[in-house]
Amino acid sequence: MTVAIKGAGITKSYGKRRALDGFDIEVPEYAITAILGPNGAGKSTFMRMLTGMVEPDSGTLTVLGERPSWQNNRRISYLPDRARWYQGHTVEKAIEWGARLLPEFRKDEAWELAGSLGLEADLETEGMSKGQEARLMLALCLAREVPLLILDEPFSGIDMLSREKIVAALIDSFSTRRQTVLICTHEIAETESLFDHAVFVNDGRTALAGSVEDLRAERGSMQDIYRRIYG
Amino acid sequence: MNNGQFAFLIRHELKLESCKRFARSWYWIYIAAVAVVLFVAVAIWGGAEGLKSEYLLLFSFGLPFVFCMIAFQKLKREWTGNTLGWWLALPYPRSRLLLAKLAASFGLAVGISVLFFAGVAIVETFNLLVHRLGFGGFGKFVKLELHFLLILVVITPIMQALGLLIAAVSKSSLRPLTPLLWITFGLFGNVLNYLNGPADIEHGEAWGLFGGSVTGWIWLAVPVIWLVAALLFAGAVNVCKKYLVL
Repeated sequence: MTVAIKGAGITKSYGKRRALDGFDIEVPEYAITAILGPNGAGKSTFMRMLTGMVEPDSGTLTVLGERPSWQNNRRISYLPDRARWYQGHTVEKAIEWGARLLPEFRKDEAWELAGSLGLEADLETEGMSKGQEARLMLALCLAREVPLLILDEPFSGIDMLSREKIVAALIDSFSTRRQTVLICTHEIAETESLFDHAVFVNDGRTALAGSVEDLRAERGSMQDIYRRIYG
Repeated sequence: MNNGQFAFLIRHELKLESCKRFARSWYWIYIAAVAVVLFVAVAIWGGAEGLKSEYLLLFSFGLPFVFCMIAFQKLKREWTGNTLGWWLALPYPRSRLLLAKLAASFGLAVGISVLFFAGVAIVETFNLLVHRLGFGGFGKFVKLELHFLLILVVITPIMQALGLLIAAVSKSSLRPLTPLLWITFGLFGNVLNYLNGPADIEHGEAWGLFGGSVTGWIWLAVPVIWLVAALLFAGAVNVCKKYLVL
């Protein structure tokens, strides 16, 4: 197995609180990996580390063979946790923003994705529902042809129909390109079928990791495993 | 980051708030109301010994504070708008990302200053016309305005670099330093006050800018002021690189 992301003994503290506590992870290349765990498990801290936004206090981390840095972000498409889009933009301006600032951004693909996600060019972010905004941000991420896609809670706080549209867009995207994908989510029921690999995080450590197929054969569905670990 | 991308980032920073602000109709209603009050006041109380347009220039003493807050808001907005993740994950060095904010803030500051002094010049023109005072002293008035404008342009980078630093520090593990920086804001922002000292315009006893005695030496301080601005900016970059609490 070729590894796209490798972390060993990563720790990160915010004051007295330890977000990551000797976290180990290996994310296989060209697989769709789920990072699962309850709130406060350290998932988003780890996701931010991948793009160099947060530095580990100790431990080692390599992303696509390099240490996280702004330079490495050229090869990473990242959907931040709890993100919103810039107020005052329309869908058209957001796509222009992506085309001008994000390397390997495919404008045609962004328009295609926006269309399939029900977003019109003149739709303003200020008038968007949370679901529409989430779809816009996902379209911007999926329109980049980069080796690594990181989605931090792409379904958080949005309605069922938007979630379904996003999952459909993800399935379409994953079926047409070779890309390593990392998704952090709570919505296991709707997304379980997407994953090849899963990492369960608990109290800043890896509680369980492996191929979804193997985990299912040994321990039941992802939801069952989730309940057993965190329930 | 190539020049085109940097220019786009500056335009992005400029457009986000400026367009929104100027699109608000109530904003223009307030500006129009203030203009009407000013013109009426000048028409009634203006003239050679009455209400002088120079008094309006005193409002510019508040501009350094406004300019600092513009830069502060440009960075703070990334947190309040939940766009921080997009901004920090851009594949460009933090120095360039912050420089784009500084450049946009500076552009806005220059724009606001030019509009302010042009507005005051229009009021002065109106005063001269209505009270039939002739345009003999208008050149001197414009020169005084230019002095104010030049000093504002010189000190704006320091105020705006400070604004970025305060915004970054307030979201970092160095947060306890924030009160000290706000005190610095209060001290630095009073530069026009310091230059004018006890200006008594009415009796012609002013010194500093109104007396015209300060402009000779103030320009010698320019390199020092800009060096301090560069240090403050470097501090903001460093905080954004290493100390942010996300």
